[in-house]
Amino acid sequence: MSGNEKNTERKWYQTQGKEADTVISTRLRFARNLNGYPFPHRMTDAQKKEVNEKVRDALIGGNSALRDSFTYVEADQLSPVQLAAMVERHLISPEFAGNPKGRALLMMKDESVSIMLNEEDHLRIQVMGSGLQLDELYDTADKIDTLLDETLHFAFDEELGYLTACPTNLGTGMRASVMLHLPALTASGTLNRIASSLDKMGATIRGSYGEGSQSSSAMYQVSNQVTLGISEKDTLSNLTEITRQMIALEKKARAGMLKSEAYQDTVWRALGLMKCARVMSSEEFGELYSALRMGVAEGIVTDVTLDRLADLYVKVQPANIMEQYGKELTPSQRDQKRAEILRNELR
Amino acid sequence: MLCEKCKKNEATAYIKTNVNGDVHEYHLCPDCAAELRNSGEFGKLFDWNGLDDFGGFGSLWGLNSGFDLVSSLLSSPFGSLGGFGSAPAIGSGKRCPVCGSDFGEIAKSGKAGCPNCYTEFRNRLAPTIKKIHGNTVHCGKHSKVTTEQSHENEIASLRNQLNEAIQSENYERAAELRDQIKAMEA
Repeated sequence: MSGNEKNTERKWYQTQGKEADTVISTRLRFARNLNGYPFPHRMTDAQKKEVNEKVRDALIGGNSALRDSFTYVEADQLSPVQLAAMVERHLISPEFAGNPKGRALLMMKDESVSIMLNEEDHLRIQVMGSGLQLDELYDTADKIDTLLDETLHFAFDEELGYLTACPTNLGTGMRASVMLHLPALTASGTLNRIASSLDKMGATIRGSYGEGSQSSSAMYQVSNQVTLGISEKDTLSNLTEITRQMIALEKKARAGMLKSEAYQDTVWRALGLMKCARVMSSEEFGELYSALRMGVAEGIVTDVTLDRLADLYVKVQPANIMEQYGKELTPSQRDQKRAEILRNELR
Repeated sequence: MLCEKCKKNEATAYIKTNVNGDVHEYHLCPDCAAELRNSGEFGKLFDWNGLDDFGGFGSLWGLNSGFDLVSSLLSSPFGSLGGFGSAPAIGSGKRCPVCGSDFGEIAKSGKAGCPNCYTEFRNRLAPTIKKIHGNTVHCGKHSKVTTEQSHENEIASLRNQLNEAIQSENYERAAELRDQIKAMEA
């Protein structure tokens, strides 16, 4: 992939998934390493290059079944704006973007699978999808993992499972995460209580989905904490159960909220501002987006769909705005462009 | 136990710091723990990014919520929770033959040097691994190669038992073992 090449393939987040009214997306990653090499924090540049090439050849070299599905790119070939835009689309971690040297990325064209090379571990195989789909994503990640294992023989120990740089990932090396939209539970202030009970169930919740959004847009990630001594299957069914419970709590809280005329007004005002504003900060956008998303999910607003909103969400993130306009912009220029994109898209 | 700071909420986060032998312990509620984290005081001591691959770009923009404080602390587990602090390497000065790490370096960075470090320093790493995951062993997916290896090891072990059975003229047991080996090789 060259720096300027536009990838016009339809992206995973442009499709609507299961439980879309409350579940934005699901992500799953495996941490894997190669025997005989130090972990990335102790590797030389030459060793990093070797690992990059080994994994690349195993996935897309020769007669690989996935040869045409993945793109390989070395991270230092990408501009800081491109890297930041990829972070916003969850293709890479902030840590990866911050230290691109010696790192590389294997990416599926629809961006649903990305493999970070030489981040904390030699490989971070990540799969993403819309809505709730832990089992489906596991199948995909499992297939890629098995295929790569045939050539790369991942570091594994009968007792400790997959061996990872950080001992918190030992065992399955799997972190599964569900991104939830919880505006009603946020408004009712019950989320902190839920967070401490999740801890007892081996899960953790945190906010974060972009600049300013964690406080304003009511999006939260629930993910598993423990990776050793619990199988992938049990981890996923545990997380699915927790997610179902959170969905039920959110829906109950929404039912009360939706009756209020004031809330319906908030939804329509959000749409109005997005259609007409000339300047919009990401904080303001986060708040309006949350209200509008809930309005669409609950059938108050019917002229926009949830998948279009998801697409819009990505388009107005700071680095993605700059990527679209092909240049660096100041925060106030971005606020103008954000409003412009929203007006055009929601016209 | 109540939070030591606000003295209102239940303390759910336990934090232990050891800076050059200066040890402090804290029991905090999630809110106060988040506040402490956001104040940046702890940021100086720990690598917050260890578990942040799913933290989205929250950490890029400095906006993480703090719900994950304890798990983030575990990102430097050998250092912060393992009780080794930033103490220098103690003991034999043994180094991993693959990557050259000694145990002090692993404790300091909170990361193993290479996969082989887990074999080389197994006993010394075990208490920390137990603290993170509990007293448990892996269950779930196995690397194919390792599974094949363990399958072969199992057959080899059965063959040894078969030889012993033949030598001790225990033919009934030998027949059983022969059938087991046949089934496993099929």
